[in-house]
Amino acid sequence: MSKNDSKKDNEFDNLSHEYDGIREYDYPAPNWWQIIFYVSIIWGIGYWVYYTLYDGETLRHRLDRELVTIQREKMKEASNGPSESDMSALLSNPAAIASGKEVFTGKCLSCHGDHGQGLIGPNLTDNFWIHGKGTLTDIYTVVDKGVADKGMPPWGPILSAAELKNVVAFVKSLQGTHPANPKAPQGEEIK
Amino acid sequence: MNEESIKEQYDDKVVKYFLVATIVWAGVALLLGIYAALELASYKFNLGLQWFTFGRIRPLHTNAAIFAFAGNTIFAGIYHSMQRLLKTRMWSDAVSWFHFWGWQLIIVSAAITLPLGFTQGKEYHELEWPIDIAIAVVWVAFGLNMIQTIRRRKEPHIYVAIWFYLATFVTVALLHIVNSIEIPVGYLKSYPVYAGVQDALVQWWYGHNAVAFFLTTPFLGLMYYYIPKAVNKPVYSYRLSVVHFWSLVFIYIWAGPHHLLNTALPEWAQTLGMVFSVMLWIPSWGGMINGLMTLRGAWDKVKADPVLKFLATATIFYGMATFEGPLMSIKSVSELAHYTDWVIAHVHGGALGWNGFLSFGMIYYLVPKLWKTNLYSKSLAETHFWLGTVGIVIYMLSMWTAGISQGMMLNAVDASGHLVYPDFVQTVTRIVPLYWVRAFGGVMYFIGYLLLVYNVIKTIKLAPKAAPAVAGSSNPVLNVSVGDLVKSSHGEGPHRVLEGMPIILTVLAVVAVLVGSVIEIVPMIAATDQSSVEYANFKVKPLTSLQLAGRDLYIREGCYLCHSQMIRTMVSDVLRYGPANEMADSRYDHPFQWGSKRTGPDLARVGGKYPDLWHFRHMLNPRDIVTQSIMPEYKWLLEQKLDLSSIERRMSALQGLGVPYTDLEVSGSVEDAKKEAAALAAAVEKDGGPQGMADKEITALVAYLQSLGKQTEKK
Ligand code: HEC
Ligand code: HEC
Repeated sequence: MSKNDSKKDNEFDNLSHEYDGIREYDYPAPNWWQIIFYVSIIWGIGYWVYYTLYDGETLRHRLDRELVTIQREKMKEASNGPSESDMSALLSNPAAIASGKEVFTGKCLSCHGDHGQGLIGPNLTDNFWIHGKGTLTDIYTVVDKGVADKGMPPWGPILSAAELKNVVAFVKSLQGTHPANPKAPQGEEIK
Repeated sequence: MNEESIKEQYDDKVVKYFLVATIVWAGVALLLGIYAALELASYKFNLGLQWFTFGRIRPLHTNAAIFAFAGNTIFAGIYHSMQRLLKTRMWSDAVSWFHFWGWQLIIVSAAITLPLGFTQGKEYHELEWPIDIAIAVVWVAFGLNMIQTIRRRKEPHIYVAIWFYLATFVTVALLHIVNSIEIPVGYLKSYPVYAGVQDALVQWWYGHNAVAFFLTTPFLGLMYYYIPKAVNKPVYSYRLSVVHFWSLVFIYIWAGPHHLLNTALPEWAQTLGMVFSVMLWIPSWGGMINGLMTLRGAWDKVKADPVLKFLATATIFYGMATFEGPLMSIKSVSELAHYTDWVIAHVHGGALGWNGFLSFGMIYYLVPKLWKTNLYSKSLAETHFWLGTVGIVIYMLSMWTAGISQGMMLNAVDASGHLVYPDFVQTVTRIVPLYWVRAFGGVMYFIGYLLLVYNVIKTIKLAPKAAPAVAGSSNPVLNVSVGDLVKSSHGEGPHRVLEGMPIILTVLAVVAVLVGSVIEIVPMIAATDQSSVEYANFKVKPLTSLQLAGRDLYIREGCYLCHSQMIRTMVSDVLRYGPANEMADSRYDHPFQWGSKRTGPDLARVGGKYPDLWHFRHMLNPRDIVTQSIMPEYKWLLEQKLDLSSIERRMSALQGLGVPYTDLEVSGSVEDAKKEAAALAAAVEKDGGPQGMADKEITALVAYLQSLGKQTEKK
């Protein structure tokens, strides 16, 4: 920058240095900038002190509190779990079976095979059962709660109440179908 | 000596080399970025080849963008501007060239080792220990060259750009060295000395400040030089420079824990990270204000000049990213944003907008200057600018949308306490179209870059025959007394005097960054030393030798780039994945694998969720199990033999670091692993799975996956 340019256009143009032609004005930082800066520092200190040294709720406390509420909701739901007769009505309801089939294709097929013939999980079409005797409520319990450590996931937390009932009805409807390549029977035969 | 003859003595050759390297590596980094983007849009781009899978390409992309593209930009800009700001040639040509070639060699070695799967499994710190050492050596050579040049300067005072260069040098050295303390267990394999929560804290102290001191402070220095030069106007405010420089350097270093909000990191540290991030907003904007206000009254020039357009827009992107960052650091916002593509949008606003555009502006400014000619085509540069800008906007809009919608779906819990979208893959399917859009934005940005390449080549062809290079001549060290400095600072305050004492200024910068570092890291290391109360309530089983071998494969394949292992203290995380993780869960994890992105579900408690056979089939082809999955196939894990040759050395190194292996477990590690693998493989075979897997890599990996969440027991 040539020296001619440097005519003082205002009072802040008063610095004497020049670096490779670069000069500096000395305007004050904008007011809003300074105000937000001070506010953020005061807020920051206050926030940290409140949450670390005083009784700000910790993240773990908050989580526990929220989980308790949710647990309570779930208890309500569990207490009115479906009965055998509730679900047997679904067996003759084509819409329910169709919806159950959809759930099965989405969630169960990867382990039980496309026709329930068994793959990673057991064959669901034969009359051998590992858990219970193959009643609708027995199936409901396994599907709802899963079998931890055997690799059958619990579906209660994942499926809606209606989906759960429908897929149970669909599994029941598979009984006695004889798909190709069935997995060898597991569990006890129920006559 | 008159001005002209000083100018002729500058070493511009090395600047040209760095500039060309910048351009070359920019292309590599961008192409890799586009490729990684396509891999997420369609798994088919993984090609079923291990060297090209997402988990190995992604670190290559980030390293190329940060260390190759941005790194060479910084060096070109610093070597060019510093010589002029100090009226002094670089101290040593030999060191300059050592720096140049050393750095390029490091990049090449990264490009070879990362696709081969040699990685430390820590983001932006993937390169294995021999390369770490090389980085430290070359970096120190660069710093030495810089400081020696400054000592021989002809200007008594140093300009704000150089304060930023100095802070960059010392802080990056500190970060790199502390995060590189690791025990080698092979030529290209090491374990960090830190475990679990310590490693998490140190890594993100490093990771966040790599952004701060590699992608921010040096670029601010470049901004302070190139904007006033290109617009030919004085910088807006000297005192703003002073305030924002020191507040930035002091505050930035604390912000690392904002990468670990709602995790098992102790809350006092999370809260520190959050509040300092918020406080960081205004110091960052100090830089933006100074850059943009320097251009005030010159917007007609900005309109007419692509160089200024790039520089001004870069500064605006800097302002956007530094507003967004503090926002995302608020715990409740982080619940939504963390692990999602929102973070990806955020970094690319910074990387493509701030670093990329500043670099392009500098290139368009420097190439004609250094080759003593005019830019070949201004209108091509103009087109580049618009392609780039629209590319970034497309990129950011698509990733904001993807991140926020996936985050909201994953966090949604209905009134009855059920997840609204329990199926993870449902939320992935929703955003896959946006992955295509993002890739398109990236391609636009890349096409703009190609125009730059063409323009630069044409410009260089226009250049007159170069005059023979002038050999270096070194100045004597400048000796100025404090009295002289006071006099030559014309009563402009004590900081002016300090600007004549670069070594003291550097020391003060080190002190500024040490305060936050020590206050955060030292108590954490003390509190989680292996005998501490933090761990007293839990019994943690270390991994068996087979599981450990599997873990090393998990790291090799970069699974942590799509999967987290950290269930946060949030209802939706707990409903989806199980109880929130405790510090003890990763007590023996060298390195920690908490992850930073959930392209797939969290794996912290996946152990026992599925039968072994499920994992075999899933790894072979995820779509056999989950039809909509975008996870790559890992066929080679079922083909390659598991290498147990160094497992004993690995276990003994971990034993040395405090993992409670017995001597018998160490000496019997190979036998134990073989036995465990044989049993696992036999069971899978019996269930109708693939045969002959006992000595294959997959068996170790599955053993590791099944251990996740099973190692910790409450006492
Ligand atoms: C990850 C694989 C997997 C998936 C997915 C899966 N299951 Fe299972 N399932 C299993 C396994 C394994 C068992 C056997 C558990 C045992 O051995 O105790 C099982 C058992 C069962 C049983 C009890 C069978 C018996 O003989 O007692 C039923 C009923 C069942 N599953 C239904 C379903 C339904 C309905 C779905 C979808 C909503 C489903 N499963 C999804 C793996 C799976
Ligand atoms: C490109 C991102 C990506 C990479 C890389 C990746 N995954 Fe995945 N992963 C996914 C996605 C998406 C899913 C969800 C769909 C599915 O189950 O396939 C998933 C699911 C999984 C699951 C099932 C989790 C559950 O709870 O259902 C496991 C286990 C898994 N991945 C392991 C791995 C391992 C081990 C690696 C490394 C060898 C890996 N993944 C690499 C994206 C990825």
